[in-house]
Amino acid sequence: MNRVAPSALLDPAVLAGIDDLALLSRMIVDGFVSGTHRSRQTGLSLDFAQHRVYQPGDDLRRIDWRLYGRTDKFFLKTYEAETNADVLVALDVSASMDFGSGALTKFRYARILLAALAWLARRQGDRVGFVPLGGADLAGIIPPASRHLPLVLEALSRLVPEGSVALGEALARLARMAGRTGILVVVSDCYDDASAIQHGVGALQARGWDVVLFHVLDPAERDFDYEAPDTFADLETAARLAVDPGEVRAAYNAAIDNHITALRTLVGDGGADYLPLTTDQPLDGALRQWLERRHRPVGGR
Amino acid sequence: MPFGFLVPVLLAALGALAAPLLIHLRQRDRRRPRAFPSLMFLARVPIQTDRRKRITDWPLLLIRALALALLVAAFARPYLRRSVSPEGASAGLTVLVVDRSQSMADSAVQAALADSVAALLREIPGGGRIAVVGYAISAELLAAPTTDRAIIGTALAAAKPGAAATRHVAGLRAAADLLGAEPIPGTLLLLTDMQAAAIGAAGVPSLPPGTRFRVMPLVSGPRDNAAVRGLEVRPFGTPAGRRAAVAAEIFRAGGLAERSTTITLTVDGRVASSVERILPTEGTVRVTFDTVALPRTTARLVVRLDEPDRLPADDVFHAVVAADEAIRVLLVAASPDAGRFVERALSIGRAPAVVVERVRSLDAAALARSAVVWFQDSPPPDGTLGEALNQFVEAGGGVVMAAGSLVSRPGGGAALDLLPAVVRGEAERDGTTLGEPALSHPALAAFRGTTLDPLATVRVRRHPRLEPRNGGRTLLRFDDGSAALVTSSIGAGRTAVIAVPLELDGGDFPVQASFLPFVRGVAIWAGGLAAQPTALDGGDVWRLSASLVQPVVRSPSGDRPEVNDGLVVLPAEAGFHELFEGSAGTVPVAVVALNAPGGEADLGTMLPEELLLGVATDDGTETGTVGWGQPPAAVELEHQQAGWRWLLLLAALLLGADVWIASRGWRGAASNQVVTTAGGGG
Repeated sequence: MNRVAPSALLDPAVLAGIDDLALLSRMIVDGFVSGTHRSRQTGLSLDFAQHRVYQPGDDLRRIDWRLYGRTDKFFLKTYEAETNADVLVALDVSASMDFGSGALTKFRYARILLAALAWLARRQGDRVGFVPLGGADLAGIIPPASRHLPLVLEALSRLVPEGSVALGEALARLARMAGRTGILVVVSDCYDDASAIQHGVGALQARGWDVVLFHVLDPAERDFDYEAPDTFADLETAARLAVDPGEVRAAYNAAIDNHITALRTLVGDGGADYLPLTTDQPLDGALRQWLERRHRPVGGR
Repeated sequence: MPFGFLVPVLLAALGALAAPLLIHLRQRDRRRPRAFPSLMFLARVPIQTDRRKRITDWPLLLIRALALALLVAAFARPYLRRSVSPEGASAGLTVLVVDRSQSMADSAVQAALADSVAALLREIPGGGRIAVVGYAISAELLAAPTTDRAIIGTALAAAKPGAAATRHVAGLRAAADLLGAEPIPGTLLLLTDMQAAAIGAAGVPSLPPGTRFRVMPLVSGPRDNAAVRGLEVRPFGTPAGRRAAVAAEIFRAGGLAERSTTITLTVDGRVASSVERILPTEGTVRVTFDTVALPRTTARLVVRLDEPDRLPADDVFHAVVAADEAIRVLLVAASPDAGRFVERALSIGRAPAVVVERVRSLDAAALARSAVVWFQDSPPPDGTLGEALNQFVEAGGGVVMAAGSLVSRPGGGAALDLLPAVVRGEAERDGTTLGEPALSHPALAAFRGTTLDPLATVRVRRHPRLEPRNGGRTLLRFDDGSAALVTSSIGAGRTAVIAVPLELDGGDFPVQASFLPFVRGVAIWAGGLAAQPTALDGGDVWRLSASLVQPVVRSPSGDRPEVNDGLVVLPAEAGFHELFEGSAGTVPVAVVALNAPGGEADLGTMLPEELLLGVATDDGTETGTVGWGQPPAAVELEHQQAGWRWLLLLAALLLGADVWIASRGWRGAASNQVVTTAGGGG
């Protein structure tokens, strides 16, 4: 591979030529970070954060004895380092993700995005896990852990998009199964009712998850810029429909816009982060969204 | 310009034109569809699903269909006819001149005529004016110039062949008259079977300048046909009654092999004799029947070939044998030696028998008991006797003057007003021959149907010069064109002047075989018996006696042919025509038989160029042929079908244009767009 500027790796056209996901994600993060100023939030820290009241079961070693001496009450000292969170990245593995009119399919774009986010999260000291959104169960889930980044990358590399996924239902099921909470990064094309997705996201939020939803679309899928009448086949259901694009384009674009607006309203206004992306967009926007999200304390808004 | 295909069966492949359409409409959903992530939003958009059955790209479909059609047409090997159709001829009047002679009754010719007419009506532009002229021995306007195709179609359908011979000039003259009345040049289209026997009657009248003259041959090549072309009846008396020796002439031409046939003779509807003979492929067979009994009254004879061929109309021959009545001829001869040959000739034969009374000069008593007065080189009387002679003729008698050297002298006295010709001196030229016999005339009926002209063997050394007058009709001429026999009808009677020497001092006619039938024919005709000829040829007129009151003629089919003011009937239907007085009853006053001319039996064809010979081309008249009904020769077609190369080239250009168009614009984008499916890669 020729040497390229690290920041150039944010360009999807460049990313399309690199197969090694681990290398790729690392290079992306390096390229992204090198272009931004370092901040406290981006590095690991052991500085004191705050005190909290002792609760039965807490580690007695973490009691602030000096404060006990002044107040005669038990308080525990918490540090910034302890704000490191569990980051669970979730990928929609439905067949509809296997579509691309440009250099990258939505699925590959999503894998790169998740790999970069996982790498960045790990670099920030977060624990990274992975869950594929597809199938009837959540088999293949990798729980968040500080040393699970290679497993996550490996899982991302081996996934094949197939079948159909009801995103809202999958998120609701994840909320029921996942015990620990943290940050859930979901990358999907969101082919589900906005209300159902909002229901799933709401269920996760109710369990304490901070949800970041990246809505990935292909430019052709978003703009529907076909000209010739043709028969279109659904990648998930194989259903067919003869369509004259010239006749339906306006209505289709309106439907897509309405869907995005509804997701932004239902999901975004509900406390989750929602970012629509197209596969021809550089990744820095998504990474910046992540950093903004990560700048906030876990569990807070 | 009309065109055809050498391999028209390949045009069935044009059905493949439906393939692109069916593929487009029915197979559209079976091709690889365009992958799309989800139809969730498309399904919510109201879509006109009937668009599935609509053509979505007309230009490409039309280009491909046209290319396919051109390919099919190229493989069918199209050719252009060299001839010019009436469509491209001119915008003027088109006159269809349809041959209606008997030879056109050939079933194959009729089929070709129907096809050609249908093609013509398709080819001639809708606004073009058309007239139809039917002709055989004479012409008839069947449809006046009109643009109404229905009228033309009806007229052509009614143009059925009759029993007459072919006389092209009659139809062409009628068409020329029509075209001459037009302000702009028109087209004359002759539809005929190109019968070679009619070539003698060919000849084209002068056509209006600029006329396009086209001949449409309806058939080509030899055609097998047999016909009864003549009948010879020799009645003779026996103690038991009248009998007759009958011989028929059977003609055949165009045959590929000899064939056997049975010839049957019927008399008054009863089979009298039957003979089986082998007919050669070409030629004439004389069939002699057993002698048959004839009634004293008029007898109707029919000879028929029992195996009809492609032209059944000429397989039957009709003849009438007059009633057995003797004719009294008063032979007026100044010298005892004069008229010996005539007297002897008239005395031979029966049916009718001729009773000759010889006198040196005419007297009233002899005139009263005679039917015919024959002046043998003796001048007719004038004065009172001449007046009596006039009355004799007006009442139905016959006068014949055989001019010789005596009446040829100046002041010879052959100037009787009732005679149809006067004698103007004498001509001497050794070896003079006779020709141009009017065989349709009853006086020369004995010479009909003979292949060679028997009168052509006569040699004359010296003969009187006749000058016809009083409407006299010349039935026979010398080879210098001067009249040899002139006849006329006066009142109910008949007169004739003969310039052919009937003595050996003027020629050899008395010793020729044709002498006897000639003399008897003239005498019998003059006597009035032969006024009802035994058989007429199609196209001949039937002259009725002036003494008839309200004559009515009944044709074989029961029709009533028109009797015009001159008591002339033009029968057109072969068979027996009966004459009645007052109304058609059971016993006719007279009967005449009508047959097609013998020449119509020969169905051999001539080349159109032979017919076109003599057509003036220096006044802008164009000639040519049109080919409907006559397929061109294979070699000719091969030379005319080079157009397939151009069709292939045009199809290739269209396909190239199709590729170019399909790769441009949205069509190209649609076909080049590849949906990326990463599968498990990446």
